Amino acid sequence: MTGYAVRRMFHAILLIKCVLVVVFLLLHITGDPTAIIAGPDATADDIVRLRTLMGFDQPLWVQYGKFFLGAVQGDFGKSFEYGESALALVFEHLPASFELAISAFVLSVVIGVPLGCLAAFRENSLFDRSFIGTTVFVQAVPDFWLGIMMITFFSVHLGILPSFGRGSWTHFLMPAFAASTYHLARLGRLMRSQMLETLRQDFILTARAKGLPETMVVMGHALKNSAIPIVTVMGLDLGILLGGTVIVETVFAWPGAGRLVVQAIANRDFPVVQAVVFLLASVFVLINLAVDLIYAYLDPRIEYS
Amino acid sequence: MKKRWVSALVLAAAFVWMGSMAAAAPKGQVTLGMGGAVTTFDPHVFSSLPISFHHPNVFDTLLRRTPDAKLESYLAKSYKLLNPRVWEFKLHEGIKFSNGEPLDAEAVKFSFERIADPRLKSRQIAYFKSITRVEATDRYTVRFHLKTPDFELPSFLGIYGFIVPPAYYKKHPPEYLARHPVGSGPYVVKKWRKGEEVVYEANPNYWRKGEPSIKTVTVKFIPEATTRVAALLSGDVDMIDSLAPGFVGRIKSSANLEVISGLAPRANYIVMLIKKGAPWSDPRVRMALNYAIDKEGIIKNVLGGFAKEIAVLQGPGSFGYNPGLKPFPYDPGKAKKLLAEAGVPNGFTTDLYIPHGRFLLGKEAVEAIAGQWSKIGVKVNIKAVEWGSMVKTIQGRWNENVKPFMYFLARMDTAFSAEGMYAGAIVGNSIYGGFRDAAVDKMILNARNILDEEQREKAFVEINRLLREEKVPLVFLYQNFEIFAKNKKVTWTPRLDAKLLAYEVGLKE
Amino acid sequence: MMEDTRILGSYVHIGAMERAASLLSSLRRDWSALLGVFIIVAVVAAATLAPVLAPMDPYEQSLSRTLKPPLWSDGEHIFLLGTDHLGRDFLSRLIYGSRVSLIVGAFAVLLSGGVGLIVGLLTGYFGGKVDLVMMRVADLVLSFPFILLALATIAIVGPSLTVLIVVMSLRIWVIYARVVRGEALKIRGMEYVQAAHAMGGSHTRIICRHVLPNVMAPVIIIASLYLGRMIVIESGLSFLGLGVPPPTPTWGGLLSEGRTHLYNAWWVATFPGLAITFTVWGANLLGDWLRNVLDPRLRSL
Repeated sequence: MTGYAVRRMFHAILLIKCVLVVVFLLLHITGDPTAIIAGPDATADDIVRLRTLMGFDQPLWVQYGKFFLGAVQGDFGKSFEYGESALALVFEHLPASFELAISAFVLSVVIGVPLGCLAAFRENSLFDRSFIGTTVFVQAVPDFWLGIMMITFFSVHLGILPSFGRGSWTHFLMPAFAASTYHLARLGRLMRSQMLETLRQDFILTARAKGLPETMVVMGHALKNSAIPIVTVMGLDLGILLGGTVIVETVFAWPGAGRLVVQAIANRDFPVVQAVVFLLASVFVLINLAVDLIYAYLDPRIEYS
Repeated sequence: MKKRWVSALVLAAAFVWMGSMAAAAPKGQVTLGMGGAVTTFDPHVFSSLPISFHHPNVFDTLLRRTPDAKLESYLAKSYKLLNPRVWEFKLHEGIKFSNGEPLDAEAVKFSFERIADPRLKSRQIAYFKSITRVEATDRYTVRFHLKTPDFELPSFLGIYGFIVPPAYYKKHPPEYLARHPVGSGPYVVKKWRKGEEVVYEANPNYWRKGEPSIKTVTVKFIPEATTRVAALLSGDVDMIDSLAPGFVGRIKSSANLEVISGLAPRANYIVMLIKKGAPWSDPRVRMALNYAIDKEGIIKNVLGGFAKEIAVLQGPGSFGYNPGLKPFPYDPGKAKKLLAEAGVPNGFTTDLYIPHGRFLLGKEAVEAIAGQWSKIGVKVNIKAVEWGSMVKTIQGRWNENVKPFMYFLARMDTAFSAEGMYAGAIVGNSIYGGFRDAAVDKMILNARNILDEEQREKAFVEINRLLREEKVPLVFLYQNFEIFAKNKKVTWTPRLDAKLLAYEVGLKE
Repeated sequence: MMEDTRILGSYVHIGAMERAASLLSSLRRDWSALLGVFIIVAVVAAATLAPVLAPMDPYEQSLSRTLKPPLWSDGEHIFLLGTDHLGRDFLSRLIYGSRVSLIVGAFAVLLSGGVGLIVGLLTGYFGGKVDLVMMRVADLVLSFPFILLALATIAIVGPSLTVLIVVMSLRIWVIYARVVRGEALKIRGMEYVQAAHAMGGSHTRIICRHVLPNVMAPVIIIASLYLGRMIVIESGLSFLGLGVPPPTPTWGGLLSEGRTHLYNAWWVATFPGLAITFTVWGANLLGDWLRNVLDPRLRSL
């Protein structure tokens, strides 16, 4: 088990390094950003001067070498737009993104899992049917549209929720819900079908036949046995949420890393893009690692090859 | 004799006391919702529109623009041209920065030397490159020595060149200064959370007594237009900028809200890259393209009426504006005739680039233009691209193997001058221009060096006539109105430079 | 696990006709699947027959009739769903928009399906170094925040239909590849496959005869489930300004353009919103049903 964990760590680090190379190339192949940085009033001479100052006139491999040496020491350079350490800037924006992603994730688990279980227990009931219908439907609504509609209804029309931004817990409700719908629906449906299958299996039937109380059957047996695919999907969802709340952040003026990076890409603010991708990729990899280790705990039969 | 002195002193003291009574202390608070976020509070490194909305709240310039775009003295009490290559500025005495440092000639000298310092990699240097040396001749007198005569300098000193306290800015590294600004302006930054909000609090040491009127101004950054409107409608903010015309009706239907718009000196135009193989190398074709656009219809129906046709790049109030020039009227018949005369009776096909999300309703306007041009046989492939990749395309435009194309741009007349507008679109070496005419370049160069202001203006007026009537370097479209919406309890009047400055916002009693 | 293998082993030997018949009969019993099929057929029909169905030219603009409400008439035509900000017939744009939305969705799903299928087959069947490398590449793709990748690529290359399809395929080919690989791995170990191999069957033959038919079910399921997702993602990219460039109408583009007319021309945003929602809903219903019928184990998709 330890050896497995160490091997996985090694893979993870290698993976992050590859991600960094890809980002660097992706950005630098597109040419140097001096003209964009220089602003609309710069002349051709200004651009040449600025290019030298920023080091974009150097060969690509020299630039890469500098970037890599810096990155190894946790220095991604200074943002072209903010004039501050790119990494510090990203760290400043990440909490907001993570708050949103995690609250969306918690929402999808807290609502999706119990509703999915309930639907499974009452298979083919009216509740079950409407559960399925709603979850499939909710997945079909684009999240930005849902967000705008919610703001129009709850903030403008009813005036009960703040229309944008971050602050009290009421600020969380709409963005977290908008970001979670897809995952909530998927997790809920998965929980339902997983539970249905487990409930039909022999050992549950045996447990019931033995006269164990229903709740105990569910808690002790059914839940644990449905867990593996659920954990997989949850890990996947958390990863997607952490890296992908850009749209919801934009709609709700949520000051997260997603918006920071959208701006950074638009302004060709290379250090910030690199720092964001590095941090998000690291988080992804860590989550995958955690999921794998949880697997190993849940199902000791998994081979560690 | 002695008695008189005493009574004078008493009188003076009484005046000071009364003065402080009359100048009401700032009070109340206002929340603004803005689309663009400020990225730094270092006033010397960057230049961008959101930054130009924020830095004047905290920092002061030697000169500044009044709301109707006249250049007025600000930190400088007076200024004059000693000779074509030396400007002299006299400063107000006794001004202090918010940290208590005195604002004197040394501070001015330090600030400009900081901008010129290559280690800072400043992008404002574009505005001040004519300056060779800044000299503090006495405590409150500064002289700018120039390489070449630069009559535009005062204009830029009204926008950039913020004065900062030398001791503080020497002591701290740039990373720190980017977050913790100290200036002499009406507000200090009390709290700043990037991408979220800036909280300004009235500077108690502000040297113009009785200003600003609001104690706390909070600026929230809301990038999405629909959310910004929702924030105003729900009362979460008191005022917003960049309102899309589609929302005007909804705002007007609320009893406590109103729409305020002001013509902004932002010229929208289409660059026709004039190079070998371009069907529009013939000025008649360029004229035809101008005649074939129903600007009035586009303004009325696409832009909600929030724009004004232009004849050249400049509007009223800009140095060198020629009031005698009329915008090209909509005349498809004449356009067809001109195309025929130029030998392209059946039109041609071209790519037209437009950066998405950068210019208000630019994409929609371009779609309309493409539709109108198709009626004279000019087929347009619209390429809506992201700004960065468009800049890259434009940079490579003169390469021989690049086919001629067109692109939609808008340019802000920040300096309110013909020269400023020509620099970006007309002169041969401009970074976004598509027109190279040695004769025009020479005329512009000559004009900028004319010492007499009246003669200089005349020269630019004449160049504008030439551009409109003979050269037709661009497809001239319109100037936008900047649209704001606010709660009626907020008092504010739009500026001709379209800036929303926190210190100009007030509250009704 | 035993049960799954049994299912898998059995349906290989059922004839194609029988399978189709059983699919159809199950479709008749499942009203929601029927609804899904109905919606998708309707949208595909609208897309293919757009030139016939659309009452007007979707590109023909007239500034004298901008933002007219549904059922407005200029005396000559009736604009059933009104007009847009350039006076174009909105119904026609919506009908033509279905083409691009479907093309983006379908091609993204097909392209990624093709790549994923090949990669999955090769890695699963042959294993070894190819497997190792490809699975690392898959990890790499998965550890990249998708939306950032999409943003960066489109921002740099410039938006176009092709770029959009490629970018959206970039992410999901991995999903196909992983599932197909798992199946191929399993099938490779089965007795009858090993027997075929022992009898001298070539790899190509074995893959085509035995492995491919068995992995088709998951491929079809993934494709149908992600078709809707792709349409939704296209609209999200349009919202960020990176969708299919104008004047080509796409539902995502219409929807995100329409949001600035939320209060003064409700139809401009409402109809594309409904179109997206119902189409995706239909695709999801269909996908759900296909999964339940063909391979219930794939419920985590």
